[in-house]
Amino acid sequence: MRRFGYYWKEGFRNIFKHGFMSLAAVLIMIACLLLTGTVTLIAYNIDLSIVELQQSNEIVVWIDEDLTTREARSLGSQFNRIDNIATTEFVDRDEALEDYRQELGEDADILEDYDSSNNPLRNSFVFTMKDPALADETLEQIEAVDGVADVRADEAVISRLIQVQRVFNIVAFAMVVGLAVISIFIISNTVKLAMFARREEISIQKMVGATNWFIRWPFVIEGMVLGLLAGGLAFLAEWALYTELFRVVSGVIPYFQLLPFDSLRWVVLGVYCGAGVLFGIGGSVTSIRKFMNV
Amino acid sequence: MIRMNNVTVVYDNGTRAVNKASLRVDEGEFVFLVGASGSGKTTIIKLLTAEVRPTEGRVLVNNYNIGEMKKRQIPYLRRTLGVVYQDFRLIKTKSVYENVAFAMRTIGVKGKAIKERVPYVLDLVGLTEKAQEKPMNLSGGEQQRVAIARALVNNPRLIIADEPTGNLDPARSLELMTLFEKINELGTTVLIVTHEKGLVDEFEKRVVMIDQGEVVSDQTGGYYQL
Repeated sequence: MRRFGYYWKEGFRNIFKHGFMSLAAVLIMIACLLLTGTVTLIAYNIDLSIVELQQSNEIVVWIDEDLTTREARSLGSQFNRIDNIATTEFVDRDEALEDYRQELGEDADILEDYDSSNNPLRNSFVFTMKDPALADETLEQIEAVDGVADVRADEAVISRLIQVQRVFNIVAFAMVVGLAVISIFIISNTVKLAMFARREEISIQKMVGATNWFIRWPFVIEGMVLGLLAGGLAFLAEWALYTELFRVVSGVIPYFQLLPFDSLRWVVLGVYCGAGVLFGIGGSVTSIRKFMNV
Repeated sequence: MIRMNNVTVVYDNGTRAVNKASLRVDEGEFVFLVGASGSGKTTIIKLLTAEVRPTEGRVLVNNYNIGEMKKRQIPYLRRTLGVVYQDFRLIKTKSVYENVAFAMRTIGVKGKAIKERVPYVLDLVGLTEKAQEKPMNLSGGEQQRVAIARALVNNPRLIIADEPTGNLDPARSLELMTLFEKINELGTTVLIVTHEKGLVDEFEKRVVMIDQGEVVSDQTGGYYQL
């Protein structure tokens, strides 16, 4: 317990003794965490949007107008035989006309000349797919059914989003790796400076019989505290940045909904502090080794 | 205490620093290790503190086999030794008391024991009055006595001093050797590396002479003859 107190005291002493270097290390780590974290959060949001879009991915099939509503409805059994179709909904052309009137509200008078005898709309089916990746194949199967007049699907939008997601994932991964290396390098140099300043003490400690871990702990704690501090401050900065991003994106791209920060808060805090501590300890450990060979 | 049998040390650059040297030092002895510069004295000290390992032969120090011991055992060997260097190696920012206490704290000794032991050792080396001074404010002789207090504080079985009087004038050197003699009389084995002929002759102790890495003479009560 007493040793534990000694390690912490010495660790904090190192931090304040090289205050400028410690500050630089914390600021650079904040920048690294913030950049990596923001890119990762955007990638995560795109991911969620894709999943949402895929889940609500609809195929609308219009039925030839020569078929009666009853004949059109009977095609449902053929569509249900297609493996990748998850749900099927038949939309009666008369109901569709009524729904359209409702949607138009005050402008519904433009449809006043239409009724079931001259309904310009077609009967249709709305399908959802089990696996959106098989969209092309499914569309071919649907089009092969006799009585299908036209088909509309959003697979092009999804495939574009998937491409964007892939790019973002690669960028996020590259940034995580690159900035982790930078963070470890900076912390490593900060700790190296502290160790260099105390090299005489270390050599005396070695000579009187201190174990390597007795010497290492204060420097590991130094790296850990710097990392934790950077993680905590980066979290606060991310909170502000993400909230602003949320506001801007909601205004500019209304159909792309970012998750609110509240729902990510604890995960972001945990990841930032965890990454900070990990980089901090990693940086310390890499710099300690050469000073131990006394 | 110390057993060296046919020990050879060859450094990576090919220098043969110790050549088939054998030496035995028993508990309670006072030994001068003498020889010209570059004769291998310092390498022998490094062997005893496990800073270097023997290339050939066997070295036993306080029952630790230097050639075969694991790295993690080295701190425990060093706790049985007290080492004093020519350049004192004191921490400038710490007081005399803190410099000595530091050696105890480093191996995990508790505060109460430190408070009891440090004043006793400072009294032994005659530095009670200077306990709160910083090393910079002390004379060379006093700084070396702080180093001796630090070497003694963990109650080692063996004190090794590498040219301890190298930076001191003859009067201070004599005082220091008298202190080592007193420490030896209290039961601690003392091994002093030096090339100061006058001092060695003055004390009439066992003298082991090294030349080109070999033990060329070993006489109790002998004189320093180059």
